[in-house]
Amino acid sequence: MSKTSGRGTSGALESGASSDLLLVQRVQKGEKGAFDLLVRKYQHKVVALVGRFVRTPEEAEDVAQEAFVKAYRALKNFRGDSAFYTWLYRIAVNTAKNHLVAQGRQVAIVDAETEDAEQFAGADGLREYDTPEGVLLSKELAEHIDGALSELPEDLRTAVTLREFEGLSYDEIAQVMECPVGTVRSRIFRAREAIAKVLAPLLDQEQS
Amino acid sequence: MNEQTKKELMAFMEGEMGPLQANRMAARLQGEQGLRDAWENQYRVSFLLQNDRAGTQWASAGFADRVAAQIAEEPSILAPRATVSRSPISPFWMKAGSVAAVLVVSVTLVGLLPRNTLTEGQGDHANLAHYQRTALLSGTQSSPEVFHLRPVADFNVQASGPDLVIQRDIKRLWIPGHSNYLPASESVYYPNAAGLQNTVYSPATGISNFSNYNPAGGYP
Repeated sequence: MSKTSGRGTSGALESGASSDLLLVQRVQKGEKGAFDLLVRKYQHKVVALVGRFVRTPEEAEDVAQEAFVKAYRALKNFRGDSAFYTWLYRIAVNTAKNHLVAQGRQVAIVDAETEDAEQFAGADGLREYDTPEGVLLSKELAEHIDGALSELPEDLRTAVTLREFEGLSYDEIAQVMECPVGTVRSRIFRAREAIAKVLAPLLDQEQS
Repeated sequence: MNEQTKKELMAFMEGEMGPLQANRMAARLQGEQGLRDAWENQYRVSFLLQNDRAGTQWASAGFADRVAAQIAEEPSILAPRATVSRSPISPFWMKAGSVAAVLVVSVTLVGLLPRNTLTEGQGDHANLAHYQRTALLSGTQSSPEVFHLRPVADFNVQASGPDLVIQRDIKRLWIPGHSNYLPASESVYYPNAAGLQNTVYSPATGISNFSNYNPAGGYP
C-alpha cells in the first residue's frame, strides 16, 4: 500500500489532550516524571517547530531544550485555558524568536502571532534543513518507512495508515475495519512498534 | 508487555480513560522504563510517519534525557491552588455523566456538605450566594437518593479539604477556594485520599452518609 499525500494529520499526534491535562496536574503536584512524559511525547514536534527558525539541528535542539525548561518553570501558572500543546508550541516559538534576536539575526516570521504556534508545527514555508545530508536522510527515512509499511500484515498496515495518514479516530477505524476499537488500538500499537524496529538502525546512524 | 497493557496505553494516549484509570496509567508510565520507552516510541513513529518529508527535523535519541537532567536541577512545582479551569471530557465520562444525571434528574436540591475548614479562599466563601442557600434542601423525593460522586485523583485540593456544594441536579460541583465548577461528568471530590464520595440524600435528613471508600469492583 502506498502512502497517501495527506501527511501531517495533526489531530493524530495531539490527541489525548485530557491525558496531557492529567500529566500537567501531576507536574503541578511536584511530579517531575510526569513532565518527562510530556517531553517524550512532544519532543519531536517542538524540535521540528524550532528547527524551522534556526540554522542547524544542534541549535534547534538547544533552543527546544530551553523551551521545555521554560515551559516547566511556567507550568505552575498553566490554567488549562488552552490545550497544553498549543501553550507549549507558543513558548517554543517565542523562545526561538528570542534566540534569533539574541543572536542578532532576523526573525524569520515577523508577523507570526504566537497564537498561531500550533499551525507552525505543520506549516510549510518556514526554514527547512535542506542540506544534502538532510535531504538524503529524509529520503532514506521515507524509503525505510515505505519498506516497513509494506512488510506489515495487511490489518496492521490498514489500521496505521488510516490513523497516521488519513487522521481517522479509533472509532472511525473500527467502523471501517469492522472490528472492536480495542483491536484497532492493538493493531496500531503493534504497527508502530514494528516500524520503530525497522527505523532504529537509521535513527541510530543519524544520532552518531 | 501484554495485550491488555498495550490497549490501556493506547487508550491513555488518546485520553479515553477515566481519571482514576488514567492516573494509574500515568503512575505506571512514570515508574516503568519499558512502558515509558513504548510511550516514546509510539509518538516518535507517529511523528516520523507524518513528517518524513525532506527538511523536517526530529529530536535525537538523547534529547529527552538531556531535558530531564536539566529539569532535575529545577525545583519541583507545587501549584498553590487548582489551576485548571476546565477539563476535556472523554466520551466515557460524558456517558457516565449522562447516566448519573438521569439518576438524579428528579432531585431538586442545593446542598452543602460540611467538610472541615476552608484552607484558602475563605473570603470568597463568605461572599458566595451559594452558601447562603445551604439549607435549601428542598427535595421532593419520598425516599433517599444515592449520589455517586466519582473520585478524581488530579484535582488539587488540600487534605483538610474545602467545603463542597452540590448544586441542583448535580450538574456541577462548586469547590470554594478553587473558583472552579466541574461538570457533572467529573462530579468528584478527592481530598488527597482516594475514594468515592458516597452520599445519600433524604428530604428529611438532607445529605448524609458522607463517606469515602474505594470500590474494588469499580463504580456502580
